[in-house]
Amino acid sequence: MLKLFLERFKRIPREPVPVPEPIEAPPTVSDCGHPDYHAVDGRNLDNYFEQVRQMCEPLANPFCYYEALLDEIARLPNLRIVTVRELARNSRPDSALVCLRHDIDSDPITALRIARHLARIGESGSFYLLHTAPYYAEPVSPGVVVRNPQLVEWIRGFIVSGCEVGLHCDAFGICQNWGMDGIGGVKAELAWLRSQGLALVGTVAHNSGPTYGAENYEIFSERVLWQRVVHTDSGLELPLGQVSMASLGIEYDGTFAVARDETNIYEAAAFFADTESADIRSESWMRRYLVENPACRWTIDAQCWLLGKDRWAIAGYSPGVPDFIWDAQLEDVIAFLAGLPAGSRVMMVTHPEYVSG
Amino acid sequence: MSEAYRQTATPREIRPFVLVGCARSGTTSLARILDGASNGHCAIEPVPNLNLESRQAIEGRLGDVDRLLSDTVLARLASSSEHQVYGEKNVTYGPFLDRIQALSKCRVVFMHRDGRDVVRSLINWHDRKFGTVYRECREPGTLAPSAISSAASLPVALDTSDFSRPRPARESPLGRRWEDLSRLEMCTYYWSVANHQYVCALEAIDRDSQTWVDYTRPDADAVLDVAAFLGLEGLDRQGVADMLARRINSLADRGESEAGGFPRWTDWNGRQRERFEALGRDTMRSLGYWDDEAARWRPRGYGEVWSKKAADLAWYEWMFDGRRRMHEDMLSWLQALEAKGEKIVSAMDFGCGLGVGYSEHLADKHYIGLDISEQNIEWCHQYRDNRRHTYYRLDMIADRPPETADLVFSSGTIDNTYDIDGFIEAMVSAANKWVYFTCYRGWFDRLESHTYRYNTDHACFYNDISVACVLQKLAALGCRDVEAMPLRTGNRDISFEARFIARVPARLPC
Repeated sequence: MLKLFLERFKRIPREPVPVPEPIEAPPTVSDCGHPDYHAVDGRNLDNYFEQVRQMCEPLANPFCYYEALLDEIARLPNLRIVTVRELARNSRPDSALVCLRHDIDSDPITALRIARHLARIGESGSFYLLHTAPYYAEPVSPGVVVRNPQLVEWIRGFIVSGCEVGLHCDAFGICQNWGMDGIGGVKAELAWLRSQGLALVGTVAHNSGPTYGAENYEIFSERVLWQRVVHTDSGLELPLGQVSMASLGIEYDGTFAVARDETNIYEAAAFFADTESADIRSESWMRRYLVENPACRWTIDAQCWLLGKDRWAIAGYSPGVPDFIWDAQLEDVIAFLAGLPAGSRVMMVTHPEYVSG
Repeated sequence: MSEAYRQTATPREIRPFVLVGCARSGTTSLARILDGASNGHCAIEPVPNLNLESRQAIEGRLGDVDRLLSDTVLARLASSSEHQVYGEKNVTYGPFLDRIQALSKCRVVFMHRDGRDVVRSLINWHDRKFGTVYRECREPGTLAPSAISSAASLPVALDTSDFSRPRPARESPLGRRWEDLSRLEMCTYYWSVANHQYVCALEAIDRDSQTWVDYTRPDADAVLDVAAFLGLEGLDRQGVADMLARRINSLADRGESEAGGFPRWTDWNGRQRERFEALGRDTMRSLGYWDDEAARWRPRGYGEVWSKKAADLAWYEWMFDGRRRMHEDMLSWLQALEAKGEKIVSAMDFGCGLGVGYSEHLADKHYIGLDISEQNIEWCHQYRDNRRHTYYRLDMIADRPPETADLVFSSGTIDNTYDIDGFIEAMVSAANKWVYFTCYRGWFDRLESHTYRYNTDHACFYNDISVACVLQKLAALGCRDVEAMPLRTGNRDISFEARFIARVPARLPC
């Protein structure tokens, strides 16, 4: 959904410690017959986090903003906080359910802080690690990706905090940006994350349709929006519908987006092709994406997206509730949640960097 | 300080009982033992166990307590009869204890244990078994595979046990710092708050209805006293002793290895000690574990090795010769000081042993030798006959010397002490002008806190002393002209020792 963080990251000057670029060309051979010597500077995560901080500063709320949000939600009667997994499993709840989805595009440190705050107050949250983010891994040579060793400690932190952890799936990002096998990458990361002890059963598709011409959840055979062939910039075919969720041990995709009963494929294709308009800070595009999306519909009753400093987009899909509120503030979000009928299923979407101030 | 009650008389009437205490204080162990009585039953954490309500009550978010209790605990306690005593143990009844007792007239067994042992046990419980003790802690812990698996399979929203543990209010100063605290600090907070809560509740309960049990070093007699207090029959001393020896509900009893876990408190470093003290000191005092404040870090039996060992002149002479350069440094420094016009009339030696070397070199001064070993001091009294010299047997940290001296010095004794800061405080307190001390285990200028290692066989510590912490301590005590430097020993195993010199602050006139 967000602009691909990696792309933004690449635009930031990397002095003094540059992030190594993927070594695109195969190793060459020098005159003496030995392979050429290639050296790249190592990634410095301190430098990375400083860049994240600088980039997000104009958008970031103080952390107490998130605490206040949770305090306000806790005060709402008949609204129960659940994990995304529980929300996915519970299609007909007695009370209103709200899940707290956290897409960790760039800031696992703040994500952990959120998870720990939730543990302190005994509430559940769901966190999705983005396997193509610089904090997670980087490609170092054709077909080779190096995971950040700090991940292990972060994952331990998430496990101890008792939150749900899933994969922020970016299979198409692997294909498009790294020129590698996207499904193979997702399989490898699911296996690795589980080997760390995570009981991982959920994914959330990263980015949105316009980024790759397809939604990342469309790798799943059950979730293809309409039959088509999509290519990367370099002409590789994206692996749409090539694996079932069950075969990967995945119970749900936490976007809660599914194919429309009837899809106008021309309209849907045009929406995905319109990369110029795709901007989460554009009211018209967000309305189109969340409410009038020609490619998919949503199987929840509402979703609230934090987009910046006390700035939300809210979409409602139930009769009697507003279908779209733009530029909402915290009070508006709480008022919206308070007005939801019993049995509603609501998703709050937060990118931790937006509460990292 | 609250007074602890220990009831031993056989009760006149049979009543139900509750067995309460902070988690990892031995409540499960005692409950299992008492459950072996022929005329009673002790349930272990029967549900509903008020995990959620306990925290809500602490935070003032609970409504009708009496109704809650009547539907849960009181209904169970009412099943007690003249022939079958019913009791239950739980670790979350702190906020309700006075009401439970008032409404049921039950007896109360309050169990407590040295906070340092409880904190260690909680951390090992987390690291080795469950991974769920204060789940918000910034330190995930050194988790065993079973702990990772356990934590991963218990979502926080279902973890009522961890939820039940108290947290400070977010708006409080501690609440604001909470997310930065270590697990040791969080567990200390829990131990302290939980025990304080019990002690407060017990103040409102008549003495005949309560008994307190210190389970730090449990013995069969104490357990049988509890059984007698509750009117439980059929327990024999040997059977109880056997069950205690099994260490019920320890990690080993639960099938987990105890090797390599969180260190015993005798091996905590200076920072861990400080963190425990900051949050646990008041409760350690109120439960009587730190009655002797100055000796609060002295393990049982500390120094016995010196008390039992016969004075051995040859050994002390060998020791003196082995560190001759250090002793020469002290004497030449003293000479230089006096050459500059500073008058040093008296010199006190912290850890004098048999007075080897200094009793001769300081023959014309009022030399005061202090040592923890009774045998050493007796030997000195017998064989050191310089009338200017006196010798005292005392624990230099816990016992104030009967006089002060212009110079207080110590050569390689602080390395074996149980409280480095306490040792420095005692030296400064006894000095009129200067303190001088050397640390024989080395020069540790990169250590951020002192490292303590207790050797149970030797009954003494082997400490690595942080140069930075000593300097900080001397500054905090108001010392001036402070010097710290490595001294070359000429030995290959330890090539440098640490030497500290400081001028102590002027004393206020009496």
